[in-house]
Amino acid sequence: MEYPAAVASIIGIHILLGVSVYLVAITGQLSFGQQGFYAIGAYLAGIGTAIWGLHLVPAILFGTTVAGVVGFLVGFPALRVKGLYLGIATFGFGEIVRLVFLNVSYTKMVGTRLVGPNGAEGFRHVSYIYEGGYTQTQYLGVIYLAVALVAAGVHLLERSKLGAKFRAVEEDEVAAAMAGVNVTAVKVLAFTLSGFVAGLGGALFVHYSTYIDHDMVALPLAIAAVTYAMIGGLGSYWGAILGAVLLISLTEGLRFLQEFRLIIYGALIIVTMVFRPRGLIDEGFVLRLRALFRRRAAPRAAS
Amino acid sequence: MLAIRGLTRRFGGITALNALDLDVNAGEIFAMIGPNGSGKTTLFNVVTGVFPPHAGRLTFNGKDISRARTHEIVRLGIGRTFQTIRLFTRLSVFQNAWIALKATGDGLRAERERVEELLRFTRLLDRQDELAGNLNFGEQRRLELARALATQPSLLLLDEPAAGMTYAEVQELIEDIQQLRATGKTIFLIEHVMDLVMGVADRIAVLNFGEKLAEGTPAEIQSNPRVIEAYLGERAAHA
Repeated sequence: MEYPAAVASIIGIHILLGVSVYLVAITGQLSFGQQGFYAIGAYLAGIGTAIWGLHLVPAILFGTTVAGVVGFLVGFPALRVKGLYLGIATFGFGEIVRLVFLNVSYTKMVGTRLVGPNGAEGFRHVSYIYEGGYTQTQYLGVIYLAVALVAAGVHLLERSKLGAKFRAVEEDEVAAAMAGVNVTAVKVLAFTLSGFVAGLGGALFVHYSTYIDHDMVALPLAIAAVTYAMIGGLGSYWGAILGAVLLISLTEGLRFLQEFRLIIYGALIIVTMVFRPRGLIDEGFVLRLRALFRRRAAPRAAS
Repeated sequence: MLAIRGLTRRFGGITALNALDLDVNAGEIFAMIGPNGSGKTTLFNVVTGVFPPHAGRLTFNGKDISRARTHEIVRLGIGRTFQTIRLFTRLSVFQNAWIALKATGDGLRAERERVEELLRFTRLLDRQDELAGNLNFGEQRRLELARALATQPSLLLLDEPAAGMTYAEVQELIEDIQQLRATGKTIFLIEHVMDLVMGVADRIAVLNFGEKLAEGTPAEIQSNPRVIEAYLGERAAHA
C-alpha cells in the first residue's frame, strides 16, 4: 500500500464528508450525525459487493441511495429543533446507526472466509477492489471521479436560485418564507443531499479499507466532518474541500508528534473560530474573489 | 380583497388580537395605526401565516388562508416588508430579489431583466452585486420593498416602511407607494409616521389593545375623540 495514495484516498473520502456537512450547514442546520449516513453507505455498499456479489457501481449506488433516503427521513424531525439542539439530536441519530451496526450480524461463507457485518467484530473482507485486480491508484481515480461529480453538482447548486434559497433559509426562515421559499422543502432536501453525499463517502471508504466497524463511525468522525466545513469556510463548497485537505495533511504531517498533534489541531480550530467565525473561505472572501475576476474580465470585454 | 373576521390571537395570557374584523378593498391604500403593543405587527404575522390564529377567519380573494403556510400565502399574492429589516445579508442585492421572483419558467435572461427592473424602481440597480449587509439603512429598506415586489403581490403589506427615514426619504416613499397603487397594487400599511399615513392613505383603522378603535378616512380619524385620546392626543401632548 502506497502511503501518498492512501492519504489521497482518505482526503477524497473526507472531502465528501465535509461537503455533506456544508450542504446542511448552508441551510442553518448543524449536523453531528453525518457518520450515520457514512456508516449506512459503507455497510450497505459492502454487503452489496461482498455478500451479494454485485458490481462495485450498483453496490455503491445502493448504499448511497439508502443513505439519501435516510437523510430525507432525518430531515423531518430535524425541522423541529435548531442549533446545538439539532447538533445533539443528529448525534443521537448517528449513535443509533452505530449501535444498530454493533448488533447486526449478517454473514455468509464466501469460499473459506466468513464475510459480512458481524457485530462488534466489524465487517471484514470487503475485498472487491483487491480481488478484482485493481491497483490502489486506479481506485484513487474512482474516488476522485466521485468527488468531481459531487463537486460539479454542488457547483451547479451554488449558482442556481435554489442555492441562494438554501442560504436565505440559513439566515432568516421567516423572511425566506415571505420571499416565497418553501422552507420545509429546502431543509429536507438539504438533509437528503447531505445523506447521499456522506453515504457515498462511506461506500467508497469501505472498499478502500476492506474493513469497517462501529468504532470507525463514532463521535470523532462526526467532529472531523463538522470541522472540515467550519474551518474551511461556509462561503463556498471549496471551503469544505480546503478544510479536509488542510486538516488531513496536517494530522498526517504532524504524525511524528503523536498525541500532541491533537492539541495543535484543537488550537487551530479555536484560532479559526475566533478570527474567522465563518471559516477560511467565508462569504466576504468569495465576494472579493469574484470582484477580482470581474475586474480582470472587464477590460477584455471592452477591447 | 382581504377579509378578516373575528380574528383572535393570544400569547400566553395576553390577547394580542381580540375578535378583529377588517376589510381591505382592492386598489386602496389602507393604513393601520395604533400605539406600540396594540397588535399591528401581530396582525401582519397572522395574515402571512407566521402564527396561526386562535379564532376567526382570514380570506384573501375569497380563499380561506387562516391555516395556510407562509410561502403558500405569498404565492396567492400577498407580499410583505418587515418592521425591523430582515434581508439576507450574506447574499448579494441581486440574489435577495432574485430568490423571491415568482417562477414563470421563461428563462434566466427574462428573470434577470425582471429583477433589474425592480432594482431600477427601488434605485438599487448600481448596487446589485454588493452584499445586502453592506447597504445603508435606506437602501436596505428599499431592497426589502424590491424583494416583496418580486413575488408579484396583488396585496402589499408594509410594516412601518418609514421608520427611521429622513423627511426626504419619506417623501420618496410616498411617491413610491402612490406609483405602486397606480400599477394596480393594493397596499396595507402599518405606520407611526403621520406625514406618511395622512398623506397616502385612503382609509385608516386604529388599533388599541388588539381591538379596532375606529375606522375611516384620514379626516374622520383626525377628528375622532377616542382616537385623539388613545393615540394622537398622546403625541400631540408631547409636541
